[in-house]
Amino acid sequence: MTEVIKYCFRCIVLIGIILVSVFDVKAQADAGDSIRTDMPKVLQKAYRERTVVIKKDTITYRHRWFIPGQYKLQYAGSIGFMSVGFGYAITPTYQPALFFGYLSENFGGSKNSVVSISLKNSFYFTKQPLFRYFKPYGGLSITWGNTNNTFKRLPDYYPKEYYFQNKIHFYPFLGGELKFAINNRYFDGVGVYTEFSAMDAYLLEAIRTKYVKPHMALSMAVGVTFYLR
Amino acid sequence: MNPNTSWRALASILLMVLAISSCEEIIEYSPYQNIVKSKWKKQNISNYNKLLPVANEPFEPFRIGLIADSHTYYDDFEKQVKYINSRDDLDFIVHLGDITLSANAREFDWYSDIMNKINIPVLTLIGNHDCLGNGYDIYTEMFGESNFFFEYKDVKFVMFDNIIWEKKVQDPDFNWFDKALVNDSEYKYVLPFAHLPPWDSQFSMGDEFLYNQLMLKHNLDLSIHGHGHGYSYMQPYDDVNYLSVPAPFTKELIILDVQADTIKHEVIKY
Repeated sequence: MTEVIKYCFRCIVLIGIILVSVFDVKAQADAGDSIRTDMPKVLQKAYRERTVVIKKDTITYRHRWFIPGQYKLQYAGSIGFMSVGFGYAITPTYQPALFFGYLSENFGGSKNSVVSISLKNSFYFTKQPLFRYFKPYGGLSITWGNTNNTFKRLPDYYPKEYYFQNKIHFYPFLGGELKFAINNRYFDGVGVYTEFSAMDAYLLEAIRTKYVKPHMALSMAVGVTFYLR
Repeated sequence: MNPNTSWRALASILLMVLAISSCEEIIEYSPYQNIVKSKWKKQNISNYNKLLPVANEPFEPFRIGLIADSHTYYDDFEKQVKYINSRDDLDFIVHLGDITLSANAREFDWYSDIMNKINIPVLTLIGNHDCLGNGYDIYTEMFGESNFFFEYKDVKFVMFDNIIWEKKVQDPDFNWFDKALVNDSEYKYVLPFAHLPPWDSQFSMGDEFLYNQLMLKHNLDLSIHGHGHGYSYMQPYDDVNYLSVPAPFTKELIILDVQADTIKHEVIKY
């Protein structure tokens, strides 16, 4: 089972790397504002300008909404030893990202391996960075943890509501990113971020008991974001 | 803004982050992680070793404390620990399992943190809640084998892992239990401990019957359990006595008084 998960993770990483390299080419194409012929045929087709006529207006558009504009690599943060994330700037404020994280004995030192998938809903508090570079944000992550004996619905032999599900957890978080402009063919920005999240179960104990102090519920993550041109 | 100011601000933010990250608890790779701190590895073994060499001495009457189902009742558990530390007549403590609520990594750490504040050694059984997620593996890293026995002053303590559903097994390892219950060294008493009482719904009718049969087979008249969160002492089948240990929120502590001719227990309200 662990082997399968390891294999899947390797595939995901590989696909991630391929995607990133493909998007690099695309970014370059965008910069030149024309489709480069050295791009794969499929993408050339996908990025081709299309026009649609609505009443008397002709609208030109490109299919690019589905391509993530942000590529993230994160350490810790309760979603694996390391995780890769793909983010979208839906609006300047709301910028969600989907993370895939992995943890195992050789990759983080846990005797049991865990595959995490996390949807991180980030909301930036300011439109302009503070102190030129600093962008504070916060939000809520929904994390799906896959390891031994986690379940969304209890197996049949348990009485009703014997346990609460333990596969999906919610993590409110607060963080900040230092974003710098870079002059790269593919990326126009790089950000270094750190954030503090609290898992729902830990947060509950922090509220419910005196023993668990608020800081004992926190989990820190650090990561980098590359912004596509 | 003056670039000097912004750099200073950035530097202070970075410093703050570095300072916070230096406290290791804040780094968690997953709530399901099985990363046990070296000081908390195999604690049942290290805690039993603390009982040596007294444990190998011939029988003389002694008293031990029984606690169970501390889950995430941390404040109540801390009060219990304080009360235990205020007594000086106990040789050691047995925790009858359910040391966590969802077997999340930090729940194991928090249990170990509070449990280690007890001045006398504690031996910890596994409970059903401790087998969720990677809990079973974390338990074995943190405490040792889930089925184990030890002797203390000519009394054999048999700690039986009888969890079924959470471990996805059909039956508990009754073969091991049967062998462990054998009085193979002229022990004064053999005392079985298990988290689930045999009448729990996890036990099939066959398992329930077998458990009691093993008590009868080995001529045991006391079996000690957790799981119910309340104190009870009853004889549901034949003459075997079943003692259930309460959770810390009841503010009760069970004292097991092992005397030369009998084993008594007291329920202390604190």
